[in-house]
Amino acid sequence: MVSPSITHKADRRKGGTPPDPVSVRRAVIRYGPARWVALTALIVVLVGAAVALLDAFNSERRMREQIFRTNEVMFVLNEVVRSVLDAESGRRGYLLTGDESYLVPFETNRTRMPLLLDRLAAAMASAEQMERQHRLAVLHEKKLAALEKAVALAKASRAEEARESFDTDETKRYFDALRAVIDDLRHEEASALRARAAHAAAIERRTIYILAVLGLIGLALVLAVMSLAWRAAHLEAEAADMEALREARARSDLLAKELNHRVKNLFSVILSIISMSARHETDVRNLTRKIRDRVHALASAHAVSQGQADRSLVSLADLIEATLAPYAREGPYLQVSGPDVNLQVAAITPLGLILHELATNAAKYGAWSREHGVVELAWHVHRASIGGLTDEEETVDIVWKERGGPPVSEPSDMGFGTRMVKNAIGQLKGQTIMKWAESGLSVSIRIPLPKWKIQ
Amino acid sequence: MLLNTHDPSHRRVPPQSDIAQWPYAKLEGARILVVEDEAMLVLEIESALEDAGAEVVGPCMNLRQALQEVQDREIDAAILDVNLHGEDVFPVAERLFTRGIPFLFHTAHGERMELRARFENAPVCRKPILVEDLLTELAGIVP
Repeated sequence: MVSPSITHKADRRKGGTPPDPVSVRRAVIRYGPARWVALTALIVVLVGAAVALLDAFNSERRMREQIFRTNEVMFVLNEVVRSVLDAESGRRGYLLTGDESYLVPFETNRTRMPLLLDRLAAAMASAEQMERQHRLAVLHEKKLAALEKAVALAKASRAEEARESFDTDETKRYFDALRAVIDDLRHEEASALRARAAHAAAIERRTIYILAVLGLIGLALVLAVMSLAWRAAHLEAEAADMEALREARARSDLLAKELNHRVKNLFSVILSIISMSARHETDVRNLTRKIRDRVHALASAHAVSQGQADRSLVSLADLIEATLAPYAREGPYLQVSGPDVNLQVAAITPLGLILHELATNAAKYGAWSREHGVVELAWHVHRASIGGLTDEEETVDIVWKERGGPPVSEPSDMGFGTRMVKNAIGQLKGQTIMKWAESGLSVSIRIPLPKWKIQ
Repeated sequence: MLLNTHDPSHRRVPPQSDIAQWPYAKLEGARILVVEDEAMLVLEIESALEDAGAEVVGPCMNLRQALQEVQDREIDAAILDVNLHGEDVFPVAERLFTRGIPFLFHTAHGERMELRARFENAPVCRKPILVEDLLTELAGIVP
């Protein structure tokens, strides 16, 4: 239930300048470039990490391949050397002893060499290396041919010639050339492996750096996101505070409006009291006293809710005590009894005026006009089901009963007091029964209680 | 007080010679609906209207009663309190407006703009107002 003026103010705050600082700062967080920068950075970090790792794996794989190839080349070359040496020493043995079993390694070499040369060719990495492999094959062929020549001479029992042919520089020259080619290949392979290892190490170092940098960026991102989240939470809390402040202001605005309304209404009532009091009074003293007493009763009744302007309920006992205080004499002249009952603030004016009229009437014409007259004021709460099972209406029944006064009788015409009481009961949405008995006036008032209660 | 009788001799009757200047002349015999939930104000307005020779319809202290009176009774003009214990009087105003019956608002809710927006021809008397001024405003709208 927001009053129009508050809505109006709120609209003005939202629509005009300066704009609401909270919503502006929220907008910065929501739509600022920071999130795009963060998102781009995150993508760069992820892609960078993937590329660096892929590069490192690739380099490792290539080094592994190089190691296998180098191993293969080294192994094959060793086998070649061994095979050639075996063939040569076999041939020497044959030449020295004539035992044909020495020729077995020689034959082995003849069958094995093409296989070794094929394996070597498969492991060659460049045209230059293929050239070397080819030279190796040619030199081996020539060497083998020379050895075969010597063996053939030996077989033809031309031992001297055979030894001579063996001792010529030719076979030694071929063998040296063969070794030279093999050494070249070995060096090449070794340096290729070293180069590959160095490259892999470099890549590895680079990868470590890249991952370290990316890790730092990731950490920065996490921190940035955390700080954003913290700021968002902070602003959220700030907004909640402002909302609470706004609500408090709206409440106090509403309260001020309500008070303003109440004051205006009270002034209206006071004007009416003055007009109505003046209607049947010609004596200025009497008139002044009547007005003063009525306004005072009104003020006393309203004092019950004073200091708690936002209170919407007042205690019936408090209201009675405040209004009837001027008439409370020592002794049993006023007997008040009843349970704790709360009434709406709107009941203060009519009930206060009713009680005042009843009291002044009692003092002038009723029980309190005699020395031992007593007024009993008692109330109790009455519950009645209205319609449905859950719909229960609570009313309070207030009984004003005078005794010990002069006999009273119903007036022939409604005076101010009677009309006022009837109207005030109407204002309270209540009902009333007035009895003018020999023993004194009795007034029963039934008024509905507010549906909601206060603890 | 309760036993006091209402004395009709207090009615303010205009001097016969000066009838044209009597400000409430138009209220003589007019049927005025009074919707007001403050008992003291009801008394004062009722008495003042009776003094001016008008016939009071009501007085109504709640919305239901007021709607009933608008439906059942012949009315020449109306005094409407805006807030009847939390209920707005506007349904009554709507029906009067539809029937072409003039009315004025008598309210302590001075700043309520919707009073004028919807019923721009209805005067707004702000509480607290002297009852004579209220009746002068009323006389101004009585046909």
